[in-house]
Amino acid sequence: MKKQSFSQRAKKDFRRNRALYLLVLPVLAFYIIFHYKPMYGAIIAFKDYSPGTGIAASPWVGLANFTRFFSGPYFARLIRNTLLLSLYSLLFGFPAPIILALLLNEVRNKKFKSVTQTITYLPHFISMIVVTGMISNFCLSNGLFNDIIVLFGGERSPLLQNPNLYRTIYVASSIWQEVGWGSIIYLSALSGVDAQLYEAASIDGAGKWKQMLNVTLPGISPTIITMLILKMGSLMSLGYEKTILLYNASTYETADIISSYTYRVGLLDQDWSYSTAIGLFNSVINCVLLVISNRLSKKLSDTSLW
Amino acid sequence: MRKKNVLAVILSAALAAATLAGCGGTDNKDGLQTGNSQTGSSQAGSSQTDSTQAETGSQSGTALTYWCELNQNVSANYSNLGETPFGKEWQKETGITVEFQHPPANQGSEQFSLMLADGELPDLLEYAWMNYPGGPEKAIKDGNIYELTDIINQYCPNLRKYLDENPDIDRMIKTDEGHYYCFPFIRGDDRLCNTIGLMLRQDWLEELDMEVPTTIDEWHDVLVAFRDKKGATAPLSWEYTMGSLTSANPFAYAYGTCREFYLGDDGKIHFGPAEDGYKQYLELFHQWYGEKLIDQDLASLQLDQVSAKITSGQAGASIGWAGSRMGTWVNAAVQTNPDFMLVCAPYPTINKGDQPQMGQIDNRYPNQGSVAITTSCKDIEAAAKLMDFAYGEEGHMMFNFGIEGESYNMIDGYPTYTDVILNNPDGWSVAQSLSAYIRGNYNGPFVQDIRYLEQYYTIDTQKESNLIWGATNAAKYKVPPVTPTTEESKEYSTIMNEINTYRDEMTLKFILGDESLDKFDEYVKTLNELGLERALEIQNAALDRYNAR
Amino acid sequence: MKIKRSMGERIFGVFNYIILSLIMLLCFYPVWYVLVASFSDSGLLMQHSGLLFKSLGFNTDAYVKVFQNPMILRGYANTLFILVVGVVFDIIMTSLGAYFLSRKNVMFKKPIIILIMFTMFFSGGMIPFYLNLKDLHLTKTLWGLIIPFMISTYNMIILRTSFESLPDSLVEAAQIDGASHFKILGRIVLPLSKAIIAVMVLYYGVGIWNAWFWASAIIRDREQYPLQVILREILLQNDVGSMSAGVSVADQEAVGMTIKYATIVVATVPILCVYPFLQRYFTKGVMIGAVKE
Repeated sequence: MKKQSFSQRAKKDFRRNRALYLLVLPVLAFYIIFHYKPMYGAIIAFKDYSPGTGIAASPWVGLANFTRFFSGPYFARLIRNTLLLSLYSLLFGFPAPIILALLLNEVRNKKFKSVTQTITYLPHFISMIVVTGMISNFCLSNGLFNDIIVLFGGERSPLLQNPNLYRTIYVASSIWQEVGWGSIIYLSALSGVDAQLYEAASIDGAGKWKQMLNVTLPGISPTIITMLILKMGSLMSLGYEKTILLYNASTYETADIISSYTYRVGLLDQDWSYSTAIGLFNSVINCVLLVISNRLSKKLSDTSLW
Repeated sequence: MRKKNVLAVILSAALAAATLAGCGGTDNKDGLQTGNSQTGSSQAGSSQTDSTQAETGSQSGTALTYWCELNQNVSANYSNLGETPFGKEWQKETGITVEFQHPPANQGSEQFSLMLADGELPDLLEYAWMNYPGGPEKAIKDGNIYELTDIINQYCPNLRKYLDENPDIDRMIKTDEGHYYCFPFIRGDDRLCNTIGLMLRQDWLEELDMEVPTTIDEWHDVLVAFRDKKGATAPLSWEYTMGSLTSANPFAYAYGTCREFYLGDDGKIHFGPAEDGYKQYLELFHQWYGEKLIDQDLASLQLDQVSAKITSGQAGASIGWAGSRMGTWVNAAVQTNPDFMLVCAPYPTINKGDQPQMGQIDNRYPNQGSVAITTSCKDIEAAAKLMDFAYGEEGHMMFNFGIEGESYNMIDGYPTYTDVILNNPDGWSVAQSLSAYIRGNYNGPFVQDIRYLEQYYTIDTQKESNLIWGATNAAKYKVPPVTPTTEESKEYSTIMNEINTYRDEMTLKFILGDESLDKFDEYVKTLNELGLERALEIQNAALDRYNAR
Repeated sequence: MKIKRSMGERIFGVFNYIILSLIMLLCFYPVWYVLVASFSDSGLLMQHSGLLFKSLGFNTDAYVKVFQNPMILRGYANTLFILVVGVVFDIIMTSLGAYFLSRKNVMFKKPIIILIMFTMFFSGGMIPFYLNLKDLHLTKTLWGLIIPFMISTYNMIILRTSFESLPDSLVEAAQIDGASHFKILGRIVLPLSKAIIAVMVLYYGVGIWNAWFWASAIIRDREQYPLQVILREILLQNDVGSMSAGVSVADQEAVGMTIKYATIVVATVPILCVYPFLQRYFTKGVMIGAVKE
């Protein structure tokens, strides 16, 4: 009975929305060709891929590549580093643009507001290569940061050589680069909050602080939660670009993360199957995290990605 | 009802298929069209290069594709090796058209790796072939490159002759199975093999009334004097991030060890970083680092920082090449400080008067810039002919000296560079103008000639460098170019990747003091747990096979 | 404001301005540093340590050298090509997807959304992606930097939310008039969404301008390098010589440091210049595209 109605509905739907489905075809094709087809290629994670024989004909090795990673000497460290770096990025990096947006929202002077916005967007436009180049220069023992440290009575030291400082530098520079840009989305959400609500609140005698808690935050909370879920899903997928440009052997202890390790074994050591296996593991973790956080959010706040 | 259901399924399947086929089709078409228009526009943009290629007039057959990294001194003025006078001359002499492909600087191994992954190879591939994962024999077995024995015998009289006359080289460039796999880069003279060593400020030494240091203790005194009396903030500074320089650390050699494998007195291969000498070296460097005798930014040092420090007097001593470091620095610094002069120092010893034992030395076949013919190559004869040219008399002169009458003249039987090279009218540096005409000043598939070096070095102390740095027994400790078997190679590279990462990390930690040297034994234990013994076993077996070649 | 602001609010207001000014300073200073360093005298810069507020001396040699390098100009041309063609393709494809996802009463919308969203968190990995490009003959061509990156799922979701906020009656009325979906999208939806499209242009544009990794992986002809790959060569290779064609060895050292800074400026300024043109859309406060739902 149910099946029947499904096929009927489907037929009806196709008849009515044919043009719409046609319209989305190129988009679907794009996803299938550039996202799903490589996923098929990811089966080399279970094979001993060799280019001469090709993906299909390379011999199966089962989970060998995965067990090699799990039992490898760096497994625990890579997981720890990736998780900690992500967590710190989330902990400090996620609220930063929200706070900036809230502060900006309180500015009455239009000119000041737009100048602040423009200037805080600046760093976003600078490429990763340049940003890391600047960081490395500023962190040298005779670099800008050390000049400032000396100014405050500290002692000179090469900052990028200190594994204890690496995460701070990484997270702080990311915030620096993205805080302004990230605030755009919250600012627009803020502009969508109904002005009448504020009026009503102030008539009720609510001060600025109370207004923020009772009107502003609830008003933008769907945006915040959606962004948070999206972030959770990519918690483990820190890119390697910044890491490989910023780390050196003395900071491996805190700096080496899954993606940079994958990059090294996959591209520099030509261990394609192994690196794909690690990448796959990473993707699976992402999905699990995403589903968990989405479910939590659905329960707690009724906001869900799907 | 069931029919309808089936119909729906078929419909959606058809739709999906149409999606894939239709759009895949358009995408591909897009790709092709755009591909064409792209080449069209790039041709328009680079019509000059095209016309120059046409000028070479080699219309015989299709072009061979040739992938190699482009040397920095070439990329300064040319975007393609085929545009250089060298590239044009090579094609003209052999009558073979070559289309060169280059990766971005520092991305060579990434692109090489991806090329191998997709199996779509250029006809000729220049690389450090012993670094192929699994070794050169594996490259042949994987079906990526041709085994060259027959090809060399048939089409390459020049190389055949050279190898017959030099059996020691012949042994180096073969696999254990006796297969040839590449057209090798060969250093034509032992003196070309000592390239890296210590250098320090001669003018400072004279001013401080000190001798060129020869022992560790004397070095300590000199560096302290540089620090205290000359105000050097980083008395000893070199590009730590450059693997070849850090491997050739003269102070580690002094303790009879090094960062790599070496050949011990017992005729077996040893791993330097696991031995007691390495601990002594680390202790020394830890002490020096604490005394601020070594650059505090050690771990991230790169060329630009070191250059700035040396030329501005923040650093007084360095490790490097006589040409690209010493020469460049002296020439740059004398502009602002006419007294500035560097001097080569011998490899230091622990006791005064001892002869230094270990030192940096290349094998005559140094595993770089060697060309293999890939299985994608359709015209093997042309490829072999192109390659063999360099090993003949004419080709040898061209690869090392360029074009007679243009870049060099024969004066009393000695090929002497002209002013085009030594005083370039466009103001190019010697290295840049050399690179336009020859490959002798870096590497490539040919035999390097010492006479290039004799003219390239212009400062007296540079000319002495290979005597001073070469006064060791380095050759005795040098591991010949051995390769693990195909079966062992994956195991070996897995072990060594992890060992090397761990060694790099711990070495720095010991030097910087993040880890106490009391932990050295634990560090050695970890090395063994990572499989060092197995790696040594594989290496020594490979050595036995090499000796049996 | 009719209600008088309380003391606390005023104090907050002052602090707010101070904090925001500090943030501005933090964001601005490093950029300023690079700018003045690029105009400085190289010798002075090398010996200088500490903060830099204005250029040490004034010297434009570095810029002359940068523009003498033929690679830089080629890089500009290539990047411009990828940028223009890429952004057009990106916007078209993203609007198509976003329009579909913003329609109501479409039965297979949900599975399609899931199909699309899944790719944000699960990928085949670098090597399979590359092998796929090669199968499609998209290596060794600039198109390989455009076609595989046409849609960013994140951007598409933002665009969808914006489309959804347009009144349904507009689309319905057009449908009754017999307009096709293509027409509705092109004649009604897009013109009404200029602001968000401007934002998309900026999002995609910045991404394309700054991308380097895939270019360095798939392009084998130096004539086709985009600007960032050349920039990376200059910055990471540490090879001052390669920058300064036509300079003697000594000069190379002398302008070395400033050349790096000048290159950074040259590679960053154009994309910065795009922003003011699009800025009015931001400040209009019409960024309705906030991810909701």
